[in-house]
Amino acid sequence: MKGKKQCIAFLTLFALFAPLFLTFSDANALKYSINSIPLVTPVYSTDDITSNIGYNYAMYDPLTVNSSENFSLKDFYWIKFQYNPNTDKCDYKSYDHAVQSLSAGQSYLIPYYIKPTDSFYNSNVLGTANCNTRASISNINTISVPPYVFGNPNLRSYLPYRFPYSGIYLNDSFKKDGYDRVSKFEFSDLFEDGIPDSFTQLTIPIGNVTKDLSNKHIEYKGSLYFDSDTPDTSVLTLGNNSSMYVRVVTYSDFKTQSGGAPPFNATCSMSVRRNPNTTEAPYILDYSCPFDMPSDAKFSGFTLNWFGNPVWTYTNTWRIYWDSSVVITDNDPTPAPAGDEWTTFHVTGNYVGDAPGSASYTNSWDVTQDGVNWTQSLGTLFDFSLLNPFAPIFNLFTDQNSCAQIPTIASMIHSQETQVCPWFNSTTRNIVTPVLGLSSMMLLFGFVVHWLGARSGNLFEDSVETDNFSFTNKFRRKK
Amino acid sequence: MIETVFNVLKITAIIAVCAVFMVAIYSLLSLIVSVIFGNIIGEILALISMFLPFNALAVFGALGTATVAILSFLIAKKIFDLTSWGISAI
Repeated sequence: MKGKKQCIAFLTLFALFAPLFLTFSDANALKYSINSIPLVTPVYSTDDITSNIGYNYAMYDPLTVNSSENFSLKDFYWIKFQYNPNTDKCDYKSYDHAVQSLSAGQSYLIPYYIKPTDSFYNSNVLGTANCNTRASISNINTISVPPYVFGNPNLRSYLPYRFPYSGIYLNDSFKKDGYDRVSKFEFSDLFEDGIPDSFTQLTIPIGNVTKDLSNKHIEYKGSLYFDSDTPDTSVLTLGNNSSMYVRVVTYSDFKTQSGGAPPFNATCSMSVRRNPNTTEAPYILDYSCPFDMPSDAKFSGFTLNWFGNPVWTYTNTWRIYWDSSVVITDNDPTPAPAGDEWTTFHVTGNYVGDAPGSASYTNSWDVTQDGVNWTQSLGTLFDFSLLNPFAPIFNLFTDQNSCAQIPTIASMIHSQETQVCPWFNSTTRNIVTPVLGLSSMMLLFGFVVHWLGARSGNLFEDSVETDNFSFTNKFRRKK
Repeated sequence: MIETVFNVLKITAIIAVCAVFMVAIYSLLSLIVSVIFGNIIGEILALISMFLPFNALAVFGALGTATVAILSFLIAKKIFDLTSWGISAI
C-alpha cells in the first residue's frame, strides 16, 4: 500500500511538472512544426490578402513607412509575384509605383507591411490580379530580410528582432545619392570568436590570401566570399586608425533574370592598389569585372534554399577601401595599377537571406502547402527529429550562448526588442549547463533507484528472501 | 540458462517498446501543450533563463528525458512482471 501511494504521488508530481518539462524541451522544438502545420490560423489569410491587394488591404512601403505608425511583426509580409501562365503576364508596382512587368520564368520578391482598411485603398497597389501572387505567413519568429533594409533606419527599427549588425551605420561621408541603401555582410565567419572591436594583430585567411590587419578598427563589417580558384598569397596591411568599409552600390529591384546575362555563378574580379611609397593607408580596392556589369548593383535573383529562405545572388559594383584620409568618389578615377602593387581577388556573389542565428524552419513561401502535405503524411508523427529521445541530452553539449526569441512577450509589451541574450558569457553557460543537467539527471535516477530499492532492500540486489516473484529474481539462476 | 536469456531478451524488448511509446506520448503531450499555451510559457522561462548561468531549457529538457526514461523502465518492469509466471506486484 505504501508503494502504491508513492507511485501515485510520483505520477501526480510528474503530471504537475510535465508541462514544465515539455515546455522546456520538445515543445520548443515542436513549435516550428506547429508553425508549419496550419493549426495556428495566420493573422490574415494569405488568399485574402493576395486577392484583395489594393482594395481592402493597405500596403506600406517598409522603406518609407513612417516610424510613428504602429506596425509590428504580424503586419510584415513577404510578397512574391510570379509570372502567371494563365494570364500570360504579371504586372506589379514597385516601391516607386512604377509599373513593372514580369515575363515567363520571372518572379519578384518584396517585403511589405500590410494592414486591413475599412475603405477602398489603392494608392499603393503593389500588384494586380494577373500575377501569381503569394504572401507568406507573417506571424513567425524569424524572418529573412534582404540586405538593403540595413541601411534604412526606419525599416531597421521594424526588423523583427535585433540583428547583430543593426548597430552599425554607414559613415555619413558615404551617404550619397543612391548609396544610402547599403548591404552589410558579416565577416564573422572569418573569425572564430567574432569580430573584436579592436585588435593588435589579426590574420584573416581567405582562401590562400592572408590579410594582416594591424591596429585596425573595423567599423563596417562585411563578408566577401573569395574564390580560391586563383589563390592570391598577398598580405595586405592596413594603416593606423584606418577603417575598412564594404560598400554595395544601391540597386533597385530583385527581378530575376531569365537567361542571357550570367548573374549566377558570376565572378567579379577585384583589385587592390597599395600606396607605393608607404605601407600605411590609404589602400584602395577597386573593382573590375570580366562581364558586362550594370552600373548599379542589382540583386540579380534569388533561389529558395531548403528551408524556404531566399538565397540572393547579386551582381554589383564593389567598392572596398581602407581609409584614414581619402574619400573615394564616383568621379575619382583610380590610377592605373603599378605592377605588382595590384592584387586581384575573385569574388562570388551569394548572400543567404536568413538572419544569423535564426531558425531556418520559418518563412517558407509554401508554408501552408507544406502544412497540408505534412498533415497528409503520417510519417511526420514519427519523424525522428521530433521523437529523438536523446535530443535533450545532446542539447546539453551544444552552444548555450544563443539568444532567445520572445516575439509573443514583445508584442504584449509593445516592444521592438524580440530577442533577449544571456547575461553570462558562453564559457560559463557551456560549462554549467551540462554539469547541472547531468547532475540533476543522476540525482533523479539515484532517487528513483533508492526509492524502488527501499521495498526490497535494493532494486538490483534483492535481499528479501520471501520476495520470490521480484523483478531481479527472474534473472537469477535457480539453486 | 535458456530461461535467463529469454527473460533478458523479453525485458529488453519490453523496455524498448515502452521507451518508444513513452517518447511518442511525450511528444504528443508537447504538441498539445504547445497548441494550448503557444510559446508564451517557453518564452517566459527562456527569458528567466537568460539571467541564469546555464541554459534552463537544456537542463529541464534533460530532466524531462530522465523522467521519461524512468517511467519507461517502471512501466516495462510492470509489464514484465504481469506477463511472467506468478504474480508479483499485487
